[in-house]
Amino acid sequence: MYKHELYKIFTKKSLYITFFLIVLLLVFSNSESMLDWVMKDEIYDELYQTHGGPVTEELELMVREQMRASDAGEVSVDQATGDVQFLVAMSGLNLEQLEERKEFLASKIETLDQTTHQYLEATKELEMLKELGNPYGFYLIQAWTGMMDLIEPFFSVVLIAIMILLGLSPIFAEDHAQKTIGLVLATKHGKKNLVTSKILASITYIGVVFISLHFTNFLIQLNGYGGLHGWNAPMQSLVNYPSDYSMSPFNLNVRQFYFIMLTVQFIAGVAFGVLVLCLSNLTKNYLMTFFVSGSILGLPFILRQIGLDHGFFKTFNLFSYLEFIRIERLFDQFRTFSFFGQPILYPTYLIGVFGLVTILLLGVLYYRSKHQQVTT
Amino acid sequence: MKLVIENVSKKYNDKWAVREFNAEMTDGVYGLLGPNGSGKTTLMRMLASILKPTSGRILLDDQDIRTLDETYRDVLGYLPQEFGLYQNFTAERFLAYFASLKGLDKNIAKEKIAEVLALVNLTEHKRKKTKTFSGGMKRRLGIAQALLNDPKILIVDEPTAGLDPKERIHFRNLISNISRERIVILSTHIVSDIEYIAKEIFIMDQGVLKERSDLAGLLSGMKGKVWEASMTETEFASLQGQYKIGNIQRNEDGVKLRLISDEKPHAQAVEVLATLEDVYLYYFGEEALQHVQA
Repeated sequence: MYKHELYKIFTKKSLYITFFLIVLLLVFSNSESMLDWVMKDEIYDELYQTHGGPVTEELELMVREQMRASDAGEVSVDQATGDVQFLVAMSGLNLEQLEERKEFLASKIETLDQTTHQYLEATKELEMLKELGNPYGFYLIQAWTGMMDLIEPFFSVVLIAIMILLGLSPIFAEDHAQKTIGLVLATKHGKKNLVTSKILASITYIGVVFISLHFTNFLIQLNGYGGLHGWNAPMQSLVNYPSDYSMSPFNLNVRQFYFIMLTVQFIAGVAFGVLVLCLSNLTKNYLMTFFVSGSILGLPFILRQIGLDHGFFKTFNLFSYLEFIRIERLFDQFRTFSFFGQPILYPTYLIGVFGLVTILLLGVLYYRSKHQQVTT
Repeated sequence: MKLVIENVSKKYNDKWAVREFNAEMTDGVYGLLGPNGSGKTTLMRMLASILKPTSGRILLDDQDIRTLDETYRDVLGYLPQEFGLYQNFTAERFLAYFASLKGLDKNIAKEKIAEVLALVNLTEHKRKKTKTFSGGMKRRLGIAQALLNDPKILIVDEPTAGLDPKERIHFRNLISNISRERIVILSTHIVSDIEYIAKEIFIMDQGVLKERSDLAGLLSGMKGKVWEASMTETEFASLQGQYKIGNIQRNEDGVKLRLISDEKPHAQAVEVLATLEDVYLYYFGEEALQHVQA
């Protein structure tokens, strides 16, 4: 059954055409926007020898002196050296900010009642920041810089969502559109096991789409940046606009972050896929499913565009499929939500909430399939 | 195996589609006869467990089919009146898909698929995509999927619609051959589909069971009601509208009529033996008969 459900999904020509167009878009957008300093030139190796690794007071003083001399016209530096000097100077500033934040939290903790949520939240943040040590400096980071997003965070959502919507909207709706529902429901496994097969086939499809898109992006980035250096650099070194993880409290290296990001994004894709399946079953209509699911996904973006991003709407926007698939805002800063007074990290909370929502939707899906009737 | 329909009714909004239907069935072919809109399809859907009755229940060997759930559907073969096929599937893949839905073991499924394809004369088309199939071929494939799991209860709703006369005869013989150890419920408005193969015939109209009997019983009930008479065109014109008229044969001398009447309709009328078509005409009138003859 599972095999046949997979066949139904993968024999849709529109998926291959869309995927091909997405690949073209990825290639085109990366050839247009690839950074000038992709760190594949030898000069970066040399600069890494003198300026690389965690920023120190001596290093920061040295680059500030070099920058002052350059600004005064006493020496001339090439573009790469200038960029690296700027990066080291910025790292110094970030480190300073980090230390200030730790001091602020330590003094705040002393003034707070130990039973309050604020106390627990500040303690958690301080612990995480202490674990970071010194995550700032100049690191030779190549393809990883562009591997976190497909073009950029919002586009990652759009591209993944388009493929999920195209592939999964017809899953239940097509049984109605093609009038096979009567035949199917009258079979032994047509009301329960079939749902399981459709879900498993959908997850497999999402996995294939996910791996294909990220692998394509990986190849494009590898080709552009020329290598995979920097896998063990702190994730705070990933400062490629618009994604900026310099203020992230998570103690992860680039490679660990990449795999966590992929895992969470895949889970988010599956959660969204289950929503699409549920709507496909409820609406019994492919186009309706496509547009309703797309609207649910895009609503937070529209709310932000019209300025509704405070109070209830801020929480609503943060706990949306859009943010879940987007990933970036889950890891770019310290953010917690209270669960019975305990501060829970935003990514953990988000996964928990969507875990529950997804279980609920699966329950609806199984219930509806079991009690589905054919009246027309 | 005994299938009991116990006071089954189905109401859509304010309209009863089926009302207090009662029947008991054992092995053999049961024909459900009635014009379009008589509630046949609704009853068939309830029997196929894809539609819940508003009241009443359906029992298989004294157990409610809703309780039996998968166990009931395991012995069920169903062909609805209207159905579609997956356009990208070949006939063989379509049947393989339904074999898995019916829980058939892979090796058994392979044999069964070959067997049912041969039964419906689609073996040579098994690798063709269903989107290339004609209406008759699609219906034959539908029949094949209904037979895949060797069902103990076979429910076929208007199975011969869209089949050519040769295919219709083939299907009738097929049903007759397989009906020995199973319950076959066949709904139709085409009298000839069930005339010679049905063990019992249910006549339905507006959701209500009007009559149930075997063919002989139905025909004996028509004793003294079926007449043939030759008359002039003028006499024929005066009789029209007064009686239910079946066949009309025109010749050089005038018109030869077959008509239904509780009393002798014409001085020269001769009582003749009834057919199932006459029974249909008796219950549903000439308008319904036009569909039957179509």
